[in-house]
Amino acid sequence: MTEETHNAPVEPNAVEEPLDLVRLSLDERIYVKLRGDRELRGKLHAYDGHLNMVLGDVEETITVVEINEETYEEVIRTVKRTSEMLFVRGDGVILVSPPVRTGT
Amino acid sequence: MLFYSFFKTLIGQQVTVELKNDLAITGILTSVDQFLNIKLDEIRAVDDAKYPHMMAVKNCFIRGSVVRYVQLPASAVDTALLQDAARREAQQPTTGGAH
Amino acid sequence: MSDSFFGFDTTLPPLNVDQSTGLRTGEQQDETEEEEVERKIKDFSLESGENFEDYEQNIDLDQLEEEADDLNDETFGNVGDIGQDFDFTESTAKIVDTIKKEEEIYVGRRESTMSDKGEEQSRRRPSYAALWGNDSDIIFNGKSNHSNEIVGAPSLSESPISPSIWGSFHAPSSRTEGGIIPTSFENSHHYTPPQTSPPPLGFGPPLHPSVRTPMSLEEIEAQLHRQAGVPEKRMLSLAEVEAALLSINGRPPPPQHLMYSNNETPFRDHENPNFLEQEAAYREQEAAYREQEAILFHKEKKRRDRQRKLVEMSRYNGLMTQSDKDFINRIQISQLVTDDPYADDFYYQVYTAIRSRQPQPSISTFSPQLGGSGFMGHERGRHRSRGSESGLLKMQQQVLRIVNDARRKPKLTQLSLEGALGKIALNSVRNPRQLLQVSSKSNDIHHVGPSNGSGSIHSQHQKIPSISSHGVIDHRKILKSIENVYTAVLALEELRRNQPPLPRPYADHERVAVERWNEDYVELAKTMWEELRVTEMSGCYPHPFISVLSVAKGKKVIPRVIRHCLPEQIFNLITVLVSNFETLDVCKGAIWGPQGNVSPAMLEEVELFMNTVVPPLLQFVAESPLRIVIGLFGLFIERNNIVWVARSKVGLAFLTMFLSRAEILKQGGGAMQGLPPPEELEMIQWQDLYNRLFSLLQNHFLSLYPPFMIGIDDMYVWQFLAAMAVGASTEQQHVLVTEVRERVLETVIQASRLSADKASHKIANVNLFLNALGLDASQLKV
Repeated sequence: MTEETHNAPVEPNAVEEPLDLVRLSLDERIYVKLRGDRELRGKLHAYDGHLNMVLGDVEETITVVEINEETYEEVIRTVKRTSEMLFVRGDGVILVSPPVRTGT
Repeated sequence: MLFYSFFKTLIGQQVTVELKNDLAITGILTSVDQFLNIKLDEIRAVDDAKYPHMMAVKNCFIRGSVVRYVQLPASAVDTALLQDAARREAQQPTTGGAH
Repeated sequence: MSDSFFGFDTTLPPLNVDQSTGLRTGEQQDETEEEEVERKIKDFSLESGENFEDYEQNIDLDQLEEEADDLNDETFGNVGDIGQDFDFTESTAKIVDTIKKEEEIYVGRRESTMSDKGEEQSRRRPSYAALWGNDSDIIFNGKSNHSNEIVGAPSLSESPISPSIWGSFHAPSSRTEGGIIPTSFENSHHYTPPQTSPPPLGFGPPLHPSVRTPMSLEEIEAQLHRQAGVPEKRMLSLAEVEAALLSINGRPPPPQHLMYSNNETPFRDHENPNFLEQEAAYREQEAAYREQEAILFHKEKKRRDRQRKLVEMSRYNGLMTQSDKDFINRIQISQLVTDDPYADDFYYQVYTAIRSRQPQPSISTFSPQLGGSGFMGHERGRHRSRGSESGLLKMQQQVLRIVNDARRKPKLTQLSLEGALGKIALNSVRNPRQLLQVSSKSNDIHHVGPSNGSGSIHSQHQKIPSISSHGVIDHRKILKSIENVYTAVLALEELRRNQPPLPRPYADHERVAVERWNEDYVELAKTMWEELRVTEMSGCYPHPFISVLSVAKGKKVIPRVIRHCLPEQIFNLITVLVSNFETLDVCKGAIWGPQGNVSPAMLEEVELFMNTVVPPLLQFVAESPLRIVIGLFGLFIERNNIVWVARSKVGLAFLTMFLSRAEILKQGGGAMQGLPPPEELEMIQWQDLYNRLFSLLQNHFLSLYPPFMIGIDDMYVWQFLAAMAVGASTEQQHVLVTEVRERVLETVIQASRLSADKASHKIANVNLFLNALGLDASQLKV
């Protein structure tokens, strides 16, 4: 097993795979877009190759489009929910990104 | 195996499983497998009125693939350890590391 | 039975007698075996006192074959020559078309035939009804016989479960071709005219199974054996027994069979042309048996159902040999087994160890010598009490071998097969199908340009830096560095867990192991140190290490890093830190202004810094000689705007750290750590630095406090003032008291209005400072 760990990549210039980029966001807040017009913002605590994730201090935003029955106008409504700790099944994940940063 | 390992530590905790059909079930996690299939005990549907048929059910087995979220008690999660576990998982040569 | 499935030319004309008998000659073996069965039946008859001699005569195949065909034409009319001896196993496929035709004809003609032969009336009766019907005995056989006349296969289809049952047993009998085992058997005798209660075809040899309640296979075998009474003789083949079983269960036997006592052989009596006579003799008894049977009926039905279930379940019995199963087991185990429980189950293992406060499983528990597998190791421990020690031992050895093999050869993730289009992904538990597949070794792709899907992804990544702002690249680079530090730290920690024991004398391999471990450790520690970027002289702003510390996980990793650092590395680290202190996020972002404008998020970061970065550094400083304290303290004052830095909690904490250490050393505290007392020169140097700090902070002491109304615990400020007061001259003490007098009074007044425990905390804070001056809050007159 020592061999394995020794071969573990600590190469600074290793080419990044998409999942390596996700790794950079461990313990950072991230933005996750999900199927069904759902978005999550929370701190990434864990992920795997399926993009299953555990997020902390999550804020979920669900976008609901409702059609006004009288005017037939589309009313876009957002519902927000929070959760202290959330496991997210990876098959619903569309994208994962760092949140928009306002400078370092 | 990361999340299987993770969920094993949550056995006995109260969790809320939200399914892809929006049904949310709260119950005690009694068992989990590598596919993240879940068994819950002492369950109740979060929205009883919407899912009255769930009221008669005391425990259930949930196929992992129909799960959208599982809400967990933060106190039962060691986030630092979990992050380390995620890092180790990412490093495993077979699961997407550079080797 | 698909025409083309067997590849036969199904347009062939039906076989004539000659052809089919010719085919039969190839089945010599069958016949010999049948003869053996015949002999056995004879034995049965002897045992049971039943006279089977008559039957015996009919068992002569050659005789029977020709004689039995008499009624063919009568039954079917002129439909041409068919294989009258029903060599179904060989010829059925070739005459499928004919069969179909004949079936049609048969069905068409059946009505008339039925009226001709009274026994056909109730052909469609449910079997149980048939059981009770007066004439059902004949009916049943008659029906079967007719199907027999056509061909064996259609009759087989009447008993849907039979084929699979035949298939599921590896019967030694050579008569197991296809699903038509019984036919060749039947071919050997007869065929009898329909009127003479012929065999229920499709149910094979046991044409007259006694109507006992169904038995298990073993029971049947055992009984047959008992009946035979000749143990040295071969037991019935499985297929035969199974056939008997099936006829018992698959369909209720005709009632006339009731008259046979249990110990009568179920075989072949019907084939006797004299059967009817015998049957007549038994008819009287039949009535009595029926009554009995009625009682047994329900029991039977139950047992029959159960038996049927058993048969269905046993359908797949024996499909896999033991070695097949072992092979599958090995594959499964090799997927699950690991010699390092931390590799796959890290979180659970460590979490349970921490939470339950149970002693962490010692490393040796997982060492390869003990079978060394993660969860398997645990499982094994549990099962061991149940015995089967040797089996487990064997398993352990196997597992060990598998693990070693797996380690030796690199994991294949892809496989190219000849003739396959593209590569075949090999998935396993640990290597599930990846949702995103990007070739990992594609360093050169972005030089060549995007040539394929994965290449374009990479080139996109390469582009990001050039189009995005500098802040973002830097941040990502820093995150990358931090993750690399974590990688190294995790590897180091794992290495520590697996530290080889000290070598015993003359144990070369142990010495080598230790040496190798040391090399590995040093190498990893070096990597970790480089990734920390402490010594990097990039000249960029802020210093890369400071950037590392500006990220939460960068702070968190510091205590774990320092465990693997040499003292000079820690000294380097602190040096870089103090000389760039004012660029730290927790310093520059947490300077209290008059309005108290520090964000809650930043306060969290400050607390994180205080809890992660400060303690290990404090410990280092608390062991340093005055010379080093002077060096660091001087650098701190020199390189930072100290009045500004001191207004942050972390800045003040560092000042307090140096001041208190110096004070301890001045008072000879270093002797306890084996340090020589400070030299005179050092004392003077220190005093100079102290005076410098004091003069810098003079008139600003009150600004060090967080705004009073915010309710932030200001203990750290009192601590700092206490540290200042201890080293201050009388004059300086006077200045201190004058400057913060107002805050002291405010705090004491506020404390008087608070609950007891909060008040005592406030007073204790104030007393930190006042006691250092030789005063106490209780002396204050408010």
